[in-house]
Amino acid sequence: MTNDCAVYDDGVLRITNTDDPPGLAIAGEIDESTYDALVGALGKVAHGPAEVHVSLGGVSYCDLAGLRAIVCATGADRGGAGCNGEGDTRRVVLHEVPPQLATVLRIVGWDSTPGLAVDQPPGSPDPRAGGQPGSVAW
Amino acid sequence: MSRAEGAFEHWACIYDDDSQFLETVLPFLADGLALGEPVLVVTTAANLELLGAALGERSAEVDYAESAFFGRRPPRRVGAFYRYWKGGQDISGGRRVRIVAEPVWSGRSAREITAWTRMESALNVTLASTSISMICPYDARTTDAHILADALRTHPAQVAGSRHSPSPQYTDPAAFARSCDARPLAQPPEGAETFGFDGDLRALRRFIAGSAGAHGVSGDRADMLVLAVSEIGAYLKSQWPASATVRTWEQPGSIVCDFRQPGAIISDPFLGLRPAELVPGDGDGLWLANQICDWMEIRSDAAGSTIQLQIPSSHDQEMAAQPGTRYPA
Repeated sequence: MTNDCAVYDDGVLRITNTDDPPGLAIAGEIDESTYDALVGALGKVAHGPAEVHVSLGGVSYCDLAGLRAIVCATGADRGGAGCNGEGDTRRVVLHEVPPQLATVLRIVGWDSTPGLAVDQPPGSPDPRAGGQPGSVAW
Repeated sequence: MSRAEGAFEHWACIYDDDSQFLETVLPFLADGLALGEPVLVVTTAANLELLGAALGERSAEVDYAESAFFGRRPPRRVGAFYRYWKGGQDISGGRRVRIVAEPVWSGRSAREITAWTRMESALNVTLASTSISMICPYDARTTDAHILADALRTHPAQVAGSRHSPSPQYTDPAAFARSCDARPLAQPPEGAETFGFDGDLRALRRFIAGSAGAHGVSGDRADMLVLAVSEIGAYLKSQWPASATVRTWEQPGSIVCDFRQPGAIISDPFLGLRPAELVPGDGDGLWLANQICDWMEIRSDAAGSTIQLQIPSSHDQEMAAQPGTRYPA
């Protein structure tokens, strides 16, 4: 990645713009105290390219509202009342999703949000392949 | 994608033998399949075999789960129903979704039976906006009489064979929920770890992470507990400015986390039971906490409100397992 620069850093949350692929790298803790900064950074990339990459590898905590904001960068919520303001529907690719966040995405069912893709590292099991056919564990 | 209009349908089917079970459930499934609706059956292993044999070739078109493994706790069961409905909507182009849902009653504690019965009633509210048609079979051969009696209070109508009839005993779900909440919560023991929560969520997370570690809970399980606790903290902070007292302790098999918020009144008996959506709703964080924890119980009185969480201290296989529901192609 080249020309990466922090667009927000308060010592708790650090958000960096990435050029290649275009998007954001997020590290630190996302809760109500850092929510506005997250939404601001997401809003800026939502006016950029049609495909946005968000790296979450450095996220040590993310609450439900923060996760919703990230998922809503797709614009999928605007079929309803909307939570991110205006913008086009776009593809959002999540990278390095911490296991806890992947679990939460499945629990709330947002993993199947139109436009959202979760980048699986090579060799990782398909989360939908496990268990007995038809079983839902959670 | 357009979604089918709401109108959740919820029938109890109290059956005395295998033939009565099949007389009610088979036509329900067959009608759904004929209409191209996603159809899910969650029942006992014995009834799954029975249905498989009766459906023959058509059995491949139905989604199945054994009750014991489809949402081990009531909130997870609601979550699983809801996800199935959502996925089924996407795949079927917005048709209604049919579910046969037979809870497991044998071997449950009185506390658990109350929680499952409370869920049966709450479904009428929390799934009201979904287009699910649900039959809940109750096996009169193996189910206690008081559970069968409650089935008529928690379902607006009954079905037997093709006969549908309203249930005169049906009870308003909010009133029913309050009657279920009469049991007092556990009191924190002496020596419980105590934390004064003044709105600093990071400090709250540090406290609960440390407490979890002290009780031997680590890794993903500890992270999920921290998430649940922090969501409770965020909710309380958003509603009431006064600080809350948080206590944690261990009891056999689980960690308990108890929030006491003086002066707080929580009057919504379905708080934390409505599935979270992309559009924010009241108590979404409590919904998530309720999905994570084995228990989330709320009590409110003149002194204030208590929210008590309980999470297993040793087993987390269900948490690690992946949902694999398949939908009809």
